[in-house]
Amino acid sequence: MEIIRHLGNEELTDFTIESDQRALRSTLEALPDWAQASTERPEEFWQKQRSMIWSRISAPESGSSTRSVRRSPVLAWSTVAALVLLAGLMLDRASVVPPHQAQVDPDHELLVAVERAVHNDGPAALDPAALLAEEMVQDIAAARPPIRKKEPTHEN
Amino acid sequence: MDTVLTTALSSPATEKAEEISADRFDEIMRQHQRRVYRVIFLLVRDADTADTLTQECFLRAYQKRASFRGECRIETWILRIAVNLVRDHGKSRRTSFWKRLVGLDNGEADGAESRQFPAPDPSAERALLAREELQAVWKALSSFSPQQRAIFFLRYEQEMPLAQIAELLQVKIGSVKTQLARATGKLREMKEKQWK
Repeated sequence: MEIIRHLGNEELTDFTIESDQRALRSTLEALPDWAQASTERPEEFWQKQRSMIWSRISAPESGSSTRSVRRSPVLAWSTVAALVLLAGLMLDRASVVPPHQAQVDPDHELLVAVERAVHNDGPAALDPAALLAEEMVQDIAAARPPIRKKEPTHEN
Repeated sequence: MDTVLTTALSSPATEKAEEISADRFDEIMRQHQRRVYRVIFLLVRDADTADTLTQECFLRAYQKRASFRGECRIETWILRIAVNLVRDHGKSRRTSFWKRLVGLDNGEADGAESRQFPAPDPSAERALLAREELQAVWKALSSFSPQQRAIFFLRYEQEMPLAQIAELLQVKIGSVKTQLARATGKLREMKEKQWK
């Protein structure tokens, strides 16, 4: 105990290792034989291993092709993910686009209603009123901007 | 040109990158193939993985032979590649769970703790007994990091000097000693429990 107290860290480690080595002597001495016996292979094994190494050395591209085969599932998953993302974006974009709203012009609607009323068969007593209405329609039509004139009417 | 490389560990078998031709590399491979395989096998405990990683180790060594400056022994340099490959393999195995979860991996194997040593050949009784003994050692070291296990096997299986282990793993010799002490302490503890 007195000896250990005066030892430095490294010396203490050496002392510990030596002590363990003494205790494990039989095991440690047998270790190379165990490893040797466990890894004994016929000469054909070593020859085959060397030929495999040389074939890999002479054909480095085969390694890259193997890697590309291994990567193919990754590529497949990436493609699927990209397609799903693209489809999602397209759907989202489609839902955002506002629907086309038909423009309703109240003046035009009124004009159409008056025309209908004018062309309907009515009592003879109302002919002057019909004539008056027709003139009003013509005046309104003449006063409308050219764009509105181009718009198709329901009568056409 | 093709000089014979002296036996591993017995001499400073240093050579420069430009001297490693294909013929020379084949010679190096024949010389260190079994050793590299054995170290990897002890660390990964799987014969097929050890075979694959040994191939990968020599493939990388060939590809990077220009970076070998002869600053250390050739076997130290090759074993460094092997230990690094085992470490990387351990990392990729930990992430394989997530890969399996999303179906990107076929699921190589279970964790190292649940692995059994496969019978390499028509199993001889000697090999079987040896594997059982190794299983006990591995069990004692299972809670340690790959580097600690590497230090233990390099020291006691490869009988490598501490300085060379430090050079191989590119750590300080004090760190090697500390980790070795932990490993031997754990193994001793386990053995003593068995004896009681």
